[in-house]
Amino acid sequence: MELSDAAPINTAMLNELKQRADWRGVPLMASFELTWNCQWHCIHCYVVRDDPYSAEMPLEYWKQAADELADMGAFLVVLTGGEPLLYPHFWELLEHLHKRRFYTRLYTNGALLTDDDVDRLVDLGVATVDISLHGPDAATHDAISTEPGSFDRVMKVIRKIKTTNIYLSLKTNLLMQNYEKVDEWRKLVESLEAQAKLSLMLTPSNDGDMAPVSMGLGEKEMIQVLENKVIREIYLGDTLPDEKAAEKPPLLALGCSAGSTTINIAPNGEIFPCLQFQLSLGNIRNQSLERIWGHSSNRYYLNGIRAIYAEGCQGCELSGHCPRCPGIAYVETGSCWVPPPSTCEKTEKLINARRRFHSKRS
Amino acid sequence: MKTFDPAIVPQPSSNLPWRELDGEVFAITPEDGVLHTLNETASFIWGLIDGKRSLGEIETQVLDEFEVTSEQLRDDLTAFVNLLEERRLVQLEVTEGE
Repeated sequence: MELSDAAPINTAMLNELKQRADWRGVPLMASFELTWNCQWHCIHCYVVRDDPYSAEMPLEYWKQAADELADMGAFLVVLTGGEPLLYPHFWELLEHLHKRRFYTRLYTNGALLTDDDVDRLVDLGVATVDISLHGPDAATHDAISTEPGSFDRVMKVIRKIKTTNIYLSLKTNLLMQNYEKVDEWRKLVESLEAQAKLSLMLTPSNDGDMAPVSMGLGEKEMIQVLENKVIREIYLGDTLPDEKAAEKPPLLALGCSAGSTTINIAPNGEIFPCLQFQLSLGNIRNQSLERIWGHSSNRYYLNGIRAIYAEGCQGCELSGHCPRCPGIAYVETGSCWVPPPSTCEKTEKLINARRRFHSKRS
Repeated sequence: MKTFDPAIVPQPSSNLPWRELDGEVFAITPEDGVLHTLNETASFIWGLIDGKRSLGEIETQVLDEFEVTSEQLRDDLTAFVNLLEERRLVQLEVTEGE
């Protein structure tokens, strides 16, 4: 009877678990979109609040989903939204997840959490809290959240979380409204000893509206961001396509677990392969989750999604630098087997910005 | 627990997330984010740790399943449960009246 050596969980360990779950057909990671309601109206948000999947489910269906997932071997549950704390039975569901021994992560804007709530998160075993922090000061953050006072409120919650053993992750997208403050943002997050998540990529709205994507940086602004050595080397990466490799781009496996080890449940019980992939596999109000997972024809449609490159990606010199997401391709084009146009455009801009930045320096 | 105590009742720690996957149990201790994986034999014993069975009852069930002497098993179980406790994977209680 042996225990492995004790070591903090890292990407390699998680990948090993994912691989084993994949072999067994286990949805290891589930996201629960409890509600698409939110008290903020962030300018780049992809959620469509009144779309066909927005009607919130009674608690009993969420508990049933949690029970089925636990029995199937699912381990990680992400509670998200909208703002998940606005779901009326949030705490009852969290208690149930705790009882079923899930590893629980919370995506929140943080603004509704009181000090007592944070203590309750600890008691109910929430391991990680991810908070959207859109800037290093009230003016920048509140302009994006469109909620006056939200920065001060969130910072108070962040400081409270730092007194607990909850792992804190602070994230933002780089937008025209905050990119000039990126280094201050980084310094603030580092001073809080939180994980920093910075992304240049924006996703279209769930209904295909490209307005959120249009908030992203142009090439000129990207070059300005790349001037910052730490941001460039640690947060955004600094690689360029290899000229020789470009002659024969390798067929890289896509690191996408949608529909294999990842499952998402929308507010009304609709099952999707992942948070950003609105291809319906069924609805847990009509069928058991186990049946949907095992028999949905749309899940079989996803077979090969990681191994087969979309037509147009094969041979593309940017393929090794592109975060191609089948879900975004699906929302933009109606097919997950084609390149997502907004991702192609953004990747090309980033690579061009890196090239121009480096040629300027040399 | 210096020596085998059949009255001890181990139970998984209250805030411990864990699952069994492919016959092996894995768990992450929330205090330090450490991943612990148990091999098949350890996972079998973990399945018997429920806050109700005493170590004496667990010993009986393991003896039914594996070819091992009682003396050897008691040593192994003592070391195993101590390690689980040290890593904050279980809490130990003594049954009433013992």
